[in-house]
Order: sequence, then C-alpha cells, then structure tokens
Amino acid sequence: MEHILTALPWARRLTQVRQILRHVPVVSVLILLVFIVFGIFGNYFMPHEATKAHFGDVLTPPMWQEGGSAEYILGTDHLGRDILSRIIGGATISLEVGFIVIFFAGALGVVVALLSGYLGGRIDAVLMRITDMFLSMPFLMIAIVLAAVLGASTKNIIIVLVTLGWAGYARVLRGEVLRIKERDFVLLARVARCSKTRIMLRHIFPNIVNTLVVLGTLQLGQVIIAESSLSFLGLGVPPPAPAWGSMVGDGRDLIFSAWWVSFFPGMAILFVVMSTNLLGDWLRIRLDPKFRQL
Amino acid sequence: MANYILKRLWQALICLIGISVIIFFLSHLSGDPVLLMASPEATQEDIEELRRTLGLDKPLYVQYWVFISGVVQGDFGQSIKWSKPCIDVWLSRFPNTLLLGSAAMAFSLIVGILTGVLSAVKVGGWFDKFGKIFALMGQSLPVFWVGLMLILIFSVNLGWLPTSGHGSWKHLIMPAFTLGWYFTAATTRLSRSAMLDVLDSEYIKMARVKGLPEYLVIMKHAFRNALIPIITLAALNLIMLLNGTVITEVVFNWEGIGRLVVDAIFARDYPLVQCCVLIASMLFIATNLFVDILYAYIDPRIHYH
Amino acid sequence: MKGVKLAVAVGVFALISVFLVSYSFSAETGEPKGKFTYVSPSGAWEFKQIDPHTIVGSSAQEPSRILFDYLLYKDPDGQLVPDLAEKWEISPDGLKTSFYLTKKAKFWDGTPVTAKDVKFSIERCMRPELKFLRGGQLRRTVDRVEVVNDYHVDVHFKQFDPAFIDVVAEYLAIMPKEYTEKVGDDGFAEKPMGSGPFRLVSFRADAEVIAEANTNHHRKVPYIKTVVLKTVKEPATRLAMLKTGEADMIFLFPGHIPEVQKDPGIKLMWTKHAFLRTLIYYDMGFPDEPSPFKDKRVRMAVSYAIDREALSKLLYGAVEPWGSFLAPYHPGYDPSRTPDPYDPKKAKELLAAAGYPNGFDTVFTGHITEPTLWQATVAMLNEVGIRARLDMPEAGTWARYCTEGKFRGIGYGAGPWWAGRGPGSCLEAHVSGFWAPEGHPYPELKESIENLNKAILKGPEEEAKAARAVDDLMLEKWTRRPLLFSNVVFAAGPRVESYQNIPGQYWAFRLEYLKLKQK
Repeated sequence: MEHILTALPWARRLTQVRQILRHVPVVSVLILLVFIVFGIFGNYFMPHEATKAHFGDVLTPPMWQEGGSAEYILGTDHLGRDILSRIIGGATISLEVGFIVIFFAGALGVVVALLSGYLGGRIDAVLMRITDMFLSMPFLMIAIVLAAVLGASTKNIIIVLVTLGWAGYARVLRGEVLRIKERDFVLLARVARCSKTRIMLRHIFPNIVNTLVVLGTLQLGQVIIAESSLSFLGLGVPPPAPAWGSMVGDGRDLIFSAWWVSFFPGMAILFVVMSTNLLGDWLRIRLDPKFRQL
Repeated sequence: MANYILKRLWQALICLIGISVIIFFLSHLSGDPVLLMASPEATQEDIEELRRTLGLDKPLYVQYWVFISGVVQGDFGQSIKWSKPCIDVWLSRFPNTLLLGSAAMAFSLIVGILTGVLSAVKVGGWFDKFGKIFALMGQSLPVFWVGLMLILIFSVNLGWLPTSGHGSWKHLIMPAFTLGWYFTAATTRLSRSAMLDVLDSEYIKMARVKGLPEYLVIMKHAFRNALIPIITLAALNLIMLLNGTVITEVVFNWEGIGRLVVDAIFARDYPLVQCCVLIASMLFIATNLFVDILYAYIDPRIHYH
Repeated sequence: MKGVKLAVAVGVFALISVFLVSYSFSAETGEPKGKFTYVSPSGAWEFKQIDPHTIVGSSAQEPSRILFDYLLYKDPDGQLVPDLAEKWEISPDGLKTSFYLTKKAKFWDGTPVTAKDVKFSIERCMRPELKFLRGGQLRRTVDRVEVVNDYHVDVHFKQFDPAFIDVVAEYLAIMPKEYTEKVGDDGFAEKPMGSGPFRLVSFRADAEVIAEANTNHHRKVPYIKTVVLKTVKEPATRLAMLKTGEADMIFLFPGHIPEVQKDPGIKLMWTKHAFLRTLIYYDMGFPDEPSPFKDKRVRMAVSYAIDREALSKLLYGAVEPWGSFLAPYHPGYDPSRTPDPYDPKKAKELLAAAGYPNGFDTVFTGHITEPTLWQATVAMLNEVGIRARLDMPEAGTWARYCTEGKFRGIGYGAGPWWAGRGPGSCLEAHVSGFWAPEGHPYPELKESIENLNKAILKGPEEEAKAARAVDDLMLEKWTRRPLLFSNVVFAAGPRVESYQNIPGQYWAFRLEYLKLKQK
C-alpha cells in the first residue's frame, strides 16, 4: 500500500511535505498563528475596548481568584482596563511594530548588502564602515538617547529600532552576497551582459531570501523585548496604547499587590518571543544549514 | 599579516570617529541640561549664564572640536552632573560592572555549555528538549520582570537574599542570574552546534573506532575542539554585558556603568554620555579586532576582505 | 502623726516625681541610639553635591539638611522658627534683613558659628561657577553682606526680594569660613564640615550617605545614632527593601499604598500639600494662534469633565481635589474655595454652546512620573468629546519643549518645588519661570502679584488680603485652574516610633526628631 502510494506523484509530494513538517515546532507555529490572528482581527475578539478605563473596577483580580468576575477574565489594571482586551490589542501593536521594523530594517540591510557585496570597492568600504559603526555602538544606550531625541511615540520606536536594527542584516547578508557572487550563474549572467541592477535583484537577491527570513523571524522577538526595555525606562510606546512591553512596565509597580497586571502580558511576551525563537532556530537549520553556528 | 592588522586598526579608528560624531550630535539634540539644573523660578539671564559656565553657548562644531581634541589626548571632559572628569566617574563604576558581568558570564557559560554539550551528545533527549526551553526563556522574558520576580520570591517571601545593592556574594546572585540567563540561549545554541560539528568529524569517529570510552571521547577530544567558537562568543558577550546591563542595574540598584549612563542621559550630562558610549564602542571594536586577528593567525585560510 | 504621714506622703511623691522627671529627662536627652535607613529615589547626590552650595534643581536635599544648619528652620506646622538665627528682622523698606545668631552653635571641630561664616556662605552661594540653584536670584538682589559683630549680620539688598527668606530657610546652608578656605572647594566636597545635627561618616556618590549623631548640636541632639540615606530608583525595589527590613523608611510610590496598608507593621506618613497641580491652557499664551481654548466655556468644560474625587481615589489619596491657588499654610487661604464639581453633562453643554457639539482634538501634556494620573485624566476628557492625545515626556524632553516653546493644548502646571513656601513665590510660579511657559496671559495678574510682594512688608494681614486678591483674579480669568494638591507619602517600618516632616516638604526633613522604638 505504502509502495503504491509513493509511486503516485501527488502522494510523493505529500510525503515530502510531511517530511518537511515533521520537525516543525507545532506549538510555536500555533502560538504565532493565534498572535497574528489577534494582531489582525483583534477588534472582533476583544471583550472590552482596550483603552477604556472603568474607574469603578480598578484592579479586579482574574475571574478564578476571589473578587474576580467573568466580566474581566484576566482582571483589570490600575485604571480598570480589561487585561485580556489589552493583551489582544497589544498583539496588534507588537505585530505592527515588529513587522514594520523587520521590513524596513531588512530592506535597508538588503540594499546595503547587495550594493556593498556585489559592487565592492569604495562603495563596499564606505558602507561597511558605516555598518561597523552601527554594530559597535552599545544598543540600549543609543536607543535611550535616540528615544530621548525623538520623544516617545509608536512611530519613533519604529525609527529607533530600524536605525539600530539594519546593520545586523547588512553584515550577515553581505557575506552571503560575496559567496553567491562567485557562483557560476552570476558569472553567466554577467557574460550575458545583464545590468548590475538586474543581477543583484534577479540573481542574487532570491538566493539570500532564506537567510533574510531566518534573521527576520529571530528579530521579531528581539523587537518585542527591546520595546519592553524602553518602556521600563519610560521611553516605550506611549500610553494609553496597550503595548505588551508598557503593560509589563506599568504593572511592575504593582507586582507585589496585583500580580496579574504584569504577569499576563509578560506571559504573552514569553510565548510569542519563545515561539519566534524556536521557529527561527528551526528555519535556520531547515533553510540554511551553515547557519547553525550563528 | 602586518598589513592586515594596520588596515583593521585604521578601519577601527574611522569607525570610532564616526561614532563620536553620532553620539555627540545625538546627545546634544536630546535637550539641554541647563533647565534641569536651574531652579524653576530662574530667569532667562540666569539660564544663559549657566549655559556660559558650562560652555554650552558655543556653536556645536566648536564644542565637538573641543570634545574630540580632548579625547585624542585621553581627556573625556568634565561631567556636568558630577563636576568631575568623566573618566574618573567611569572608572569608579567599572569594577562593579566588571564583577556583575563576569558573574553573569560565568553563569551563562556553565549552564549554556552544560545544556549545549549534553543535548548534542543525545540529540532529542531530555536535555535537548528542556534545556533549550530553559535557555530560550531567559531571552524571551523582559529582564526587569525576571528581576522583580526574583526579588519578590527570594527576598520578600523567602528572605534568603538581600533585595539590592552590593557588598557580599549574596548580593550578586540575583542580578548575575537575571543577566546571565539572558545570554544562556546563545551559548547553549552555539555549544550544541559546535559540538555536533565536532562529533561528526573524522577524528572523533577514529577515536570511537579505537574503542575509547565515550566520556573520554566527549570530554577530551570533542569538547576541547568545540571550545574555540564558544570562547569567541563569550568574549563578545562579555563586552555586551559590560555595556548593556542597564536594566538589571536599575532593578537591583547595582552601581555600575549601565545605571550611570541612564542617569546621565536623563540628566542630559552630555560629556558623561559621550564618554561611556565611546568607551563601550572602543571595548567592542578592540575585542572584535583581537578575535579576528587571532583567527587570522590561527587559520591562514581566512580571506582578508 | 498626721504630720509624719503627710511628710512621708510628700516625700514619696517627691521621690516619685524626681524619679519620673529624671527618667523622662534621661529619655529625652539620652544618648542617641540605633541605626535608621531611609531610601529615596532622588539620587542626585553626586560628588560635589555633598557641598550644599552646588545643589541643582534635581538634587536631593536630605544630606545637606542633616549635615548643615540653616539660619531659619520650619516646625511641623510649617512656621519659620529660629535655627542659627535667634532673631531676624526685615527693615520696613525691605532693603535690609538682619540676623542675630545664637551663641551656642559650633561646627563639628568645635569652632563657633559666627557672623563671618554667614557672610562667607551667602557670598559663596553667589559665585556663578558653583552653579548654586538660587545663585542667580542672590546675584540679582543682594547688594552686600555686612558683619556688624560676631553674632549679628546684615544683608543689604538692591531691591526687596520677597523670596529671600525662603532661600535662607531652604537652601542657604552655613559653612565654616576658615575650614573651607583652607581646604578649597574640592577639598570640601571630599571632606565636608558643617554644624548640623549629624556628622558625616562616609559618602558614596549617587548611592549612600552615612552620618552619626552630633551630640553637641545646638538645637536638637538626634534620637538616632546612625542615619543611612540610600538612593534606589526602582519603586518596587524600595518597597521590597522596606518589607525585608533593609530599609526603615522609604519614599513611597502611591500605587503601593494599598499593599502597604495590608501590612500591619508598616505605617504611612503623609506630608500634606507638597505641590499644587493646575490645569494649564497653553494655547492662551499664543494670542495669534486660533484654538478652541480661547473660548472660556471650553476651558470650563475641561475642568468640569475631570472627576477629581475619582483621581484622588485612584492614587489612594496621594492627590486631593483642590479649588484654590493657595495652600492651607498660606496667609489668605480660604477653605470655602471648593474644587470644580464633576459634571460631564454641563461640560458637554458648554462645549456645544461654544460650537463643539462633537468635541475636538487636542494634546494633553502630562509628566512621565505619574502615568496613572494623566492617563485617567485623558480618559475622562475623551468621555465628553475633548479628544486629547496624551504626551508624557521625561524631564529632559519637557525642558526641551520649554526652550523650544512647544507646549500646546492643555497640560498640567506647577511642580515639586513648592515645598511649603510663602504665597508670593508659589503664585509667582504661575506666571514666570519654566512651569509657566505661557507667560503672563493678562497684565492685571503681574500687577496683582507685584502688589502681593509689596504687601509682604506690611504685615501678615495685608499679605493675606493681597494673596486672596491674586487667587480671586486667577480663578476668575480661567487661564489656569486648580486641579489637585499632591501629598507626599513615606512608609515607615515597625522600628519607627514617630516622625513628623515639615508640611509641604517633598524631602524627608527633621530626621533629628525621628524616634525609633526602644527594645
């Protein structure tokens, strides 16, 4: 039976798919799916408005604890805002910030890597010195200064994280470009007098996408953690927006008296960041064997 | 080789000049220390006078020139907040940060290498699964939250450890754990893959064929060779620990560089911010350079790009 | 027989009373005992600032208070009382203030505190390179300081300075002339000497000050032997220290009040009326820019939309609703000035009448140190249709907004330096300095405040009348509105028996009067 099935092309493909999927971190993928769904359609799931304060129901504990109510499943914070709704709403912000940062930092990194790696020479020297500069600056210190210059807003957090995030992509991807540049198909394209732009975009870029995806996945988690660190110092996504980092940051003052205020958003961060890390690790091995060492 | 080193030194210098420009103008754009120092009822003249006293009334490029020519002579300027040379302030805090950083490093190395090696030896085993989860958790939780939870459990509820400050080894445990945990994941991942690579190599197979006991194969032959990349990572991580301990230091009230920098930024103490950031970058660049040169020396195949 | 009985009775009574008196006497003047640790967030105890003449805006003032003496002091009612100056007089024209010093005060090395030290200290404060917080003010107003004799010093002014007495009581620490001249400024910062109730034992910048009781103090020998002042920025860490007994008293974050109340061993110690928070309508400072707040009805709507009682409850009493620009310790304060009521319906009506039935968009600038308060305020404003975006810059950015003139919309004004001062400087803060970026919105106000400053010389009754006039004028014009009065709260552990701060003080003063429980 098995034998017959594998003989059929569609069945063979199915087995292949199953092979690939066998080691997929299922739990991580599920968590990330939930995260993305909440991030996009969060508004439909929220039991309350995320920024709506209920001054009569301040610091209600979660429903299973004494004094809790089914109205607020995970309890309320110091302004009487529903924690569950804020976590769902926070997914939107984290997703938004995460993806925009990854997109722009990745795009900038790719452009620098392509120009630097493929064109070489002076351009390479200049771009790589700039990249080095950004890589050697102490991340959090510069982030705080930048945030202080720009002021706290979601847009500015994105600017800060992109400014400090692109160099990592540029450095790693440039190495890739250098390697691919020497490959036969690129040499052939050059012989065929393809334009430099075309070679970079059509021949080299598709070959660095795998690495890009791995780096991007890993960065999603870092973005969420970085945002929470900035929130701790009062420079994160400004209230009343329900960013997870600021929720944990706000709730830390209540950690002794109302554990739920910081605990649940903390768990949300833990699960999502952990999932991106596990998925990133898996992708790293799957897509890019030589990256196991990074 | 000499050429390579010279070239790298030259590049490092350019890099540092660039960083000095960035941090100088960024910190000056972030606001003015004068209003934070003046009394709320100070008049405009009082404020102008204070600005003159601090030398902040000159054009920015002049101030930059003063700053950078000082740095070349080893003078990072006078801290506004501390009325003391920045480098002295930095030096007074550095030993604390070094202590905390080393302790955290030691923790992350011990735990990371142990889990990494053990999970490589038995892929898919208990250690491989749970060790990784434990290591990743450190990277996935906000550091301040971990720190406060530790204080809540071990100081307030159990009363085993002091909440904050420093003095004895007891003060070191919680901050070192909090900080070290964050870096464990990278160490685990690297030791696991380095170990897997080595275990896959011909000479390990040889050693096994020769009938050496498994623990000897692992300890003597495999682990030693896997150690090189691990030490490299550790060196770079240590530099990061020496600069990036901001949040742990705030939570545990540790008198180190991280807290110093945050306070300096919030007080707009430009000279101190510039000094700390420049030194941090220097340390990072120097370590990188050292590692690269060492590698080039060990492995002549490395291509000098 | 009767006589003997009486004699015995009198004898016993006399013995008992002698015993009691001597006991209580020894309890009062007994050797200072015990160690006391106070933990606060204000960590600006930088290197030089152990030198009290170099303090800047953000400096903590506890260290200078325990190590140095001032000419005047304040009692727990907030009234000025003698410290180094037994008596002080202001000349009728306000151009001369005389201080008559006590003969009992001595610096730690035993040299007496005399007029030349006072002259030296005032002149030292005026040196610009020390960047003393109030140096600019002194340079502007003080003409010269004259030593009449060893215990009498006259300060001559170029113009009357109504805030001078505040400076004397709050910032002007008296330093020894000879010692300071001998060791120099840097030497003093390393090894300071004062005459205060505690002597410095050790000092770690931005971290810790340890001091021991000065048993020769002229005003009050402290009850506690050793005092430790520590800096911890993170509020939760401070609370943990109090709970574990690492700290005896902390500067409490208001959100921790319910947690502290659950613990029977911890007491709350309030310092009432530290600073007034007002609503500022920033747009009033820009007459050429159109703004909904130019309409008084809109400004009124903002105030009626805010539920001050709810805010007070939200912060567990760390703020209280307030309806006047004066504090209870000010002459002229009128308790019948009640806060604006919470009336969202009226607010909506006022908005509709002003032509904004659907509300409008604006900005509310709050301070980063109190996210809860300002988030709640903005939520209330949104309810009636004033859709305010909340901006909460940290202190440095706030200062930048000031220099760049960036404040628009609404926000909160006045700040933590009120500290129980006279009505003159408190009201002045609403029209000048950097808590008043909108400046003088109308000329009558400036005039009225100048009247008040003149009235200070004419005696308390005139002062009260003039202060009330300013209050009335500001309430009538609605360019600012009293919102909440902030109370500072400390939490003390089980070892602390009694402590009373100066009302309105942000810092923990009068530590020499703090008593620990005897075991």
